[in-house]
Amino acid sequence: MPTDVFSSDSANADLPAVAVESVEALAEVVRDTRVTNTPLRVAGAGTWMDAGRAVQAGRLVSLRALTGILEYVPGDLTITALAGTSHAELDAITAGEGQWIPLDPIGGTIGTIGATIATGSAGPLAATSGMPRDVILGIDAVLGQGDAIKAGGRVVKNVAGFDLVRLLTGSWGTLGIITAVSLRLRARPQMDETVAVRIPDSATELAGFLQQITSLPLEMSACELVSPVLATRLGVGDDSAMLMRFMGSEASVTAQLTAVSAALPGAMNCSREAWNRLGEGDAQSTAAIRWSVARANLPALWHAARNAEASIGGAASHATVARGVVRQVAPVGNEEALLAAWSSVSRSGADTHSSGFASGTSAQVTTVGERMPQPLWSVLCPTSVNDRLSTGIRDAFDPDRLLNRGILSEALPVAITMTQGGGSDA
Amino acid sequence: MSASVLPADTSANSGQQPRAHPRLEGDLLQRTAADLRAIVGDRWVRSAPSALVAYASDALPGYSHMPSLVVLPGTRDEVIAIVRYLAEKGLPFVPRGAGTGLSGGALAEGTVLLGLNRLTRIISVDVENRLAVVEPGVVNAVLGREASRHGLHYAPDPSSQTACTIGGNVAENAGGPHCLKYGVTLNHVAGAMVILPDGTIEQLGNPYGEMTGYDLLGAFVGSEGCFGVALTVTVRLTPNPPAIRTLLADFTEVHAAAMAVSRIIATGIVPAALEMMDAATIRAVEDSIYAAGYPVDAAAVVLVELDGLEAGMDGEVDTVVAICREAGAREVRVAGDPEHRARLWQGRKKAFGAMGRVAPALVVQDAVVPRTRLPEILDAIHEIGVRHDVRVCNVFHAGDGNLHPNIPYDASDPAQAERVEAAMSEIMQTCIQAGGTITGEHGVGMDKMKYMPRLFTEDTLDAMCRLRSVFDPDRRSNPGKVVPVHSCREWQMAASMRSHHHAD
Repeated sequence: MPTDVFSSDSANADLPAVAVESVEALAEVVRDTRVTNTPLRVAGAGTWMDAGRAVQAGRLVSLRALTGILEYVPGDLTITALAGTSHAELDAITAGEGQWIPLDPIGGTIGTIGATIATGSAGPLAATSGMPRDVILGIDAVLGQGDAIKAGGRVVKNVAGFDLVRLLTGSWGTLGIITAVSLRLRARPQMDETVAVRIPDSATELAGFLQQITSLPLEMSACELVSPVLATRLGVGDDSAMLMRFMGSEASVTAQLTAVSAALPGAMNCSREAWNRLGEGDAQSTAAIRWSVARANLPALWHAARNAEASIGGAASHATVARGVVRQVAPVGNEEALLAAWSSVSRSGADTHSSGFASGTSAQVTTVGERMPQPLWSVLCPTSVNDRLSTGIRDAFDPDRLLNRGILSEALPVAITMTQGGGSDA
Repeated sequence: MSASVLPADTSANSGQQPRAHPRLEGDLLQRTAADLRAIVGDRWVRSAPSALVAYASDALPGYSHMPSLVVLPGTRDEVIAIVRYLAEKGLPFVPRGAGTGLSGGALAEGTVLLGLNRLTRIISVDVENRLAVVEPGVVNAVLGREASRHGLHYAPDPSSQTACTIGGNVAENAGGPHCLKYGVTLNHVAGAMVILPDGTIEQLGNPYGEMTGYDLLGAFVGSEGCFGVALTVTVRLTPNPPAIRTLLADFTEVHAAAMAVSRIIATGIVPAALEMMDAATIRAVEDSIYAAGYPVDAAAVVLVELDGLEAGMDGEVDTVVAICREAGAREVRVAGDPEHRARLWQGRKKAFGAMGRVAPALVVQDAVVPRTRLPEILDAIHEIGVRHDVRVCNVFHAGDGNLHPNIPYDASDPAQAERVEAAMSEIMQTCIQAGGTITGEHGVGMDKMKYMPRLFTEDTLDAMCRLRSVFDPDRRSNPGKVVPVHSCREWQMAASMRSHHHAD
């Protein structure tokens, strides 16, 4: 089949779409996909279709109608939901029992839980509540050959068999299409308070400041740095700031707030709404990228990202301190400027003397693209799935590369590139 | 979920598995031993039956499998050389740490056993980034001691932590009491350098940033030695909590203790640990050298550990005490100082050892059930034990719903052994039907393979086989474990293709 019949624009907006309402229907779609050799684009709510690299597909399958709770026993603090269930729906159901799912991916609550798990997406809470791989207990999925599996389970501890759950989490739908997930829940805290405090600009001062915070008797549920543009948008002042979130019993949270105000006189209480605004996602026509480092190097990375922000204009950054992750959102338009600025951050660990990276610890900067103009992908974050093991795994679960082909920039087997009549754009 | 595609008694040790690899014996054994001696030196290759017998079982009684030889490398380079040699010769091998596993996972029948417990270097401790890089033979508690010098600890704490190794913990995705709050091994491993069975070396995970691509590290952790051998492991270290309280509540009814556990979990308090022991276990402990002062007339004790900031700690303690009393606890003791806390823990940590003194053989299970089902499951287990006339001792991670129903027995009495097997099979079926799983932390190994087809569908087992084949297409690393080989559709095909390849 020639390449040009496949949609390759990043959003795949023009594809013929099918919405499945059952696992059986999905399995049928996948089997049909194999028969007709028409690669499939997998979608949840469809809010994040411009994320990842361009997908070559001839058809789109939406999981948004595969929605609902399969099992929820509040006393177990676990829930099993169909993949198309939105975060908002899950929030509403669990809130009724005084519980919540400790996942807060950026992008708003209309996104589906299946997409969050498939992309391994996380937000500020991941610093203490863990990544999706730490929260997920079980996955039902239809694999690339149309076989339906049930991996993991519904209990909170489980080592039975090889770990297909971790394998599918964060695989971007390239190994199988997630149809249901089982997750750990938490009880909603008695108190949930957020404090904002101004942070210094220089990397050295920021390092000292963070050191001071570490020495305080605090158990933060989230600790996020925000740049001035974002601070303004979140309503926490006009300077670079650190948002500190405390969740727990009244006695514990009150004591921590007291400790913060004693140590940091400039700290001000702010609305929890700031987190919702951060989570709502980014403006239209923006690109987004993440860099990550060993946590000791976060101040240096933050500094580099702030410099890039200045050179792009209109950009905003935030950082999850405990994970050493900086995320930056910038308007698209001037690709060259964006590429230059972002490349400089990705390379910032290379010269440890000038950039303030701690000596004696790895200065490696990991770059992860979220949404970017297509030409930036290969420069900023070359694929990480062309190693032998990853290729073998794709061969084992989606040998014909029919699921989200290209989203991880995987090299295509010769047999597939030949039937396409052209080279892979990987 | 419980598509039973096979009779439950088709187990690895029943001899019905197709043997993929020839036994290592005769001339082949002599040549292999000589070649391995050239790598590690004479001292570190053992092939005399008197030496091999020490490796014929792990911590789970009831199995005896003699390896053909044991090789004990002392350096990473020696491990690499050995694995590459075995790859070249097409010989299977079984990696092993301290041999404290409870699933028969590290047993080698007629093959090479690769012991890794001489690789004991803690390569680095990065206090600022809370990471440590260790060799696979480092003992869990030794790493813990090293971390404690910096106000940190390594969170996963299997009961065997004074002997078990980090490499073994990674292979089994080991748990422990404190995994309730802090998570299991998977959540504390940031990276690993591994050698695949074909001799290639791979770096998995990313200790210094986000993981990208497929979660190969997540797949490797808990692969029970079937995906290769860890050469170094980068683990996360956790800051010590500023305040810790340990509570011991004793109950006159098991059901009441289980209710207390379910209610504590439902409040949303996440204890660092929440453990339970029944009367049979308490008596075994108190009769042993590990006596911890547990009330011997109690039907069950519940051990709760709370940790975190000092502020708010007393409130949580009060809540837990109130729940226990309301559920019917006779007495709740609270310990704050390290010495008294250690004493309360002592009996729990040594329960398996104490049970070993009760009878010559012990069946150990590791099922997990949804936490709200604990009271009824414990009642059901009791009933099953009575009906089959066996003595079930329960000592387990109640907060996770991770049961360890253990049956001490006399293996020389075939009738008794048969009753034990029947009771265990029924207990496992009860747990599976309650929405549970067959192993929470011990691994499938050899011992629980027979239950896998009860838990997973044929398609799911086949997907596991395919994943394994990516790491170890020839199934040479710890062959015959975890997933019954006849569940692997591609296995039969691969077997015929392999003979073709070897002819090339």
